[in-house]
Amino acid sequence: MSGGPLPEEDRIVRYLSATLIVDGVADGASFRLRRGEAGLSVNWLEVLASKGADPLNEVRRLSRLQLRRSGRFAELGVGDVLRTVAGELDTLRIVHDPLEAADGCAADPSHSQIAGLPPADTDEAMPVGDMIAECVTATHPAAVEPG
Amino acid sequence: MSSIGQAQLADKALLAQAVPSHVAVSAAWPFCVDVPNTIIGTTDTLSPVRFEGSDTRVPPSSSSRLRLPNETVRQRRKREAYEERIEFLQEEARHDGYALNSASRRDFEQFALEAEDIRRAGLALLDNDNLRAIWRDGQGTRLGLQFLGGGRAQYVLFKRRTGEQPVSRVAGRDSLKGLERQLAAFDMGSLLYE
Repeated sequence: MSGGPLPEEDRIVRYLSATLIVDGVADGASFRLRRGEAGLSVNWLEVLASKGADPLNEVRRLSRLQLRRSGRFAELGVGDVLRTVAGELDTLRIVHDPLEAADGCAADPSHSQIAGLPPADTDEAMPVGDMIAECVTATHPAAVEPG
Repeated sequence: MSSIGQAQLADKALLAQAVPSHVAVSAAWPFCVDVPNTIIGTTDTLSPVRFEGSDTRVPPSSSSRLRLPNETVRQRRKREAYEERIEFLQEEARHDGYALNSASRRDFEQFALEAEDIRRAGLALLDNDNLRAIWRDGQGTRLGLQFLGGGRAQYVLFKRRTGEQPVSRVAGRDSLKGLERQLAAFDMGSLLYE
């Protein structure tokens, strides 16, 4: 992680697999670490918007994940997440972590991480994930039909 | 690392009264209740429902293994809805490189289908192969149960009591039988049952 904390008034998105979307709502399991992970990958929308492009389309273009049509991007406010979780977990941070171009993938200046989460598979991980999921303000298609 | 509100402390005291003396209630948020292995997964506390097979993963096309002998129309509808959802989840999971733990599925079906009046849950399939069932009331109260297999579940309770802030939160793991005590202690009956 090379960057500093994201501005609290800015927004991030995280890719959700369809298996973790319940009745159209993000499940908290989407916001817990898996074994071997130090942070959750998210994309910072404002840093892409400042370049004049549609930030969500840029996230789709730059993503190194295999985006499925059944998946969604969950949108969250940085400050919302920090305030919601802060009362229970004071280690949480959302920090800029831009990716350099590698293995045929373009550089991703929006890549960021939610860090300071409880370790994977602990009983603390799931309730914190549920609290973060409650901060989701919108979801967007992960892949769009070609126009 | 964490702070605990007064409402939550009150709930911790309530929880401590509700759980047996051999269950440790952690001082750290979110009151993770550690049930000793000696009482986890005791199959003698479970109802005698028979399942076929002993594989650990269910192929995507397989249907529910739980069909109650005297299934009511309401139970059948619920079972069929779950079967459809699980089939979808399995198909999606296959693309992402994981599958469904059949022990988790068995425990879920036992919990969610045996009692006729239990409300239908939303279902997620986690990347550790376990099913997670979620009940919400839209007022801030919610219950999430991750079925771990072996008659155990990890629970997350968010409870908004009338006129009280903030939401109380409890998480831990327990046997399916022991869950009844946790749910009763937090008065989750109206969320869970019709």
